[in-house]
Order: sequence, then C-alpha cells, then structure tokens
Amino acid sequence: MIVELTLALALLSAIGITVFKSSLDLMAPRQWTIYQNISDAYISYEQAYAERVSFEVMTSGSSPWPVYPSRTTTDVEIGKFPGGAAIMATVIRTKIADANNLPAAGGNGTIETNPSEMETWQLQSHLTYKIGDDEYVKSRTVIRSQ
Amino acid sequence: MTVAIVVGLMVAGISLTLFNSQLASYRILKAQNFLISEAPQVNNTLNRIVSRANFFRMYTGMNDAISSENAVIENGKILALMFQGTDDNSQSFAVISFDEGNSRLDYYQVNSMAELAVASPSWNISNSIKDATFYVENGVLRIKLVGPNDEEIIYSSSTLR
Repeated sequence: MIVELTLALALLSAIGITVFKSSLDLMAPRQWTIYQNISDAYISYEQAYAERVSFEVMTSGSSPWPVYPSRTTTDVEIGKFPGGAAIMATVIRTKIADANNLPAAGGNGTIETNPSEMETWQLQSHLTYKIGDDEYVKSRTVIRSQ
Repeated sequence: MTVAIVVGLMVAGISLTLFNSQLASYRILKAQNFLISEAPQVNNTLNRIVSRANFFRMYTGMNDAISSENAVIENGKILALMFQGTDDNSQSFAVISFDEGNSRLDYYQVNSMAELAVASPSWNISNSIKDATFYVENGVLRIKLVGPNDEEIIYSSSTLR
C-alpha cells in the first residue's frame, strides 16, 4: 500500500514539475510577443511623427531631433500588460546631416556640389526596452529633404 | 496506517496544487490573448484603412458624426475617414466606431456621413475591446485600444499626403 502510494506521489511530482516547466516554456515566448507587438505599435508613432513634422520645426533649435551627437532621451509608457501594469521604454532621437548639405545645414557641401542648396537629414528614433536583464533596441530612420 | 494516510494526503495535496497551477496558467494565457492575437489583427485592419484615406475627422458621439459637427482632436470615439475618388465629386466615407455598450469596434462604409443614421456596420473589427480612443498628437493619428483585462496598446497611423 505504502509502496503504491509512494510511487503515485513520485509520479505526480514528476508530472507536476513537467507541466509547470511546459507552462513556463509556453509563457516566455508569449511575453516576448507581447513586447514585440507593443513596441512595434509604439514605434509607428516615431516614424509617422518624423514623416509629418514640418521641416521648419525639424531644423529649428528646439527640434525634437537634435543634431548628432546631441540627442533627446525620453522615458515613455508604451502600453500596459493585462492587469494594467505599465510597460516603460526609452526613446532616443537624433538627426544626422547629409554630407552634401551646405555647412550652415551641418554638411561639407559647397555651392558647386549642391547648387540647389538641398538640405537632407536622417532622422533616427531608437526605442530601448528591457525584458529581464536583456536590453533591446528598435530603430526607425526617416530621410527628410527640402 | 498513519504513514499511508499521510502519503495519501500528500498525493491529494499535490493533485490539487497541480490542478490549481493548470487553472492559473490557463487564466494567464487567456489574459494574454488580446495583445498576442487580437490587437495585431486590429492594427493591421486599421492601418490598411487609414493609410488609404485622404483625410480624417473624429467625433465623440454618433450624433455629431452623423451631422459632421463638433469634430475633436482628442477623446474621439468615432473616426471618420474620407476617400476621394478620381472624379472630384466621388467621395466615400469609412467610419470606425467604438460601440461602448457592446464593446465592439465596428466599421461602416457610407457615401455620406448622414447615411450613418440608418447604416449597419459593414464589418466588426473586434468584439473584445473594452475601450478605444482616437486622438491626434503632433499631427499623427493615434489609436489607443484597451483590452478586456485593462491591457493597453497604442497604434499610430497617418493618412495619404
């Protein structure tokens, strides 16, 4: 009797551990997918904003995208987990001038190489977030010209 | 005998714990479903529709949408999108409306906003949304969806330029 019960106990414990581990194995990639979906959704704003912001604002001194190596760093709430816990991330923005821009616009171009005085900027937004101890970065780059 | 009873109780206890942990896992997996499967599909649908529109307006209520009055740029519950045809006079409207009573996000296709008064939804985009809010931030249309377990995801989109 005791032998059978002990065997049953051992078997149940083994089943319990296996089931628990398989549940964890199932949940880990789902947690990853949630982060992917929420961060993908959030970074679509960065792209849309970079495409839509007026050239005047984008190139002004108070531009949301300062000239590299300057950058703006903002902590943002990108979404919420089931239950309402906030998911935080950091957005870093900077912009890089095209080499052929005139010096006044951050480049090395001259009136000979750039007779139309074209101004081109690469707007970069980087969204960084942590899952456990690992940090991830998602980036979007938009080219603006005038 | 005592040993047998103790071991028996342990077997029963572990069985119960096993059952409870399975139930808890099921609840967690179910709670994650909105963000994993429903929200990306809603985003895909909204992006395909919004990106083809010429311009949009948003309203807080159906009556304002029907009369095309009192458009807002925050806390919108109804998003009206206008599609301009090749002919200057050919316009059609798509309306995405959050029905709070039924927790549904519905899509209407109409030729004029006034038609909304008698129109039935052409599609149901989602029926597991607790709240949907449309607003504009820095010229970008943002759509905040709240799922059945208070999860939240914010999409951004822009119309044709």
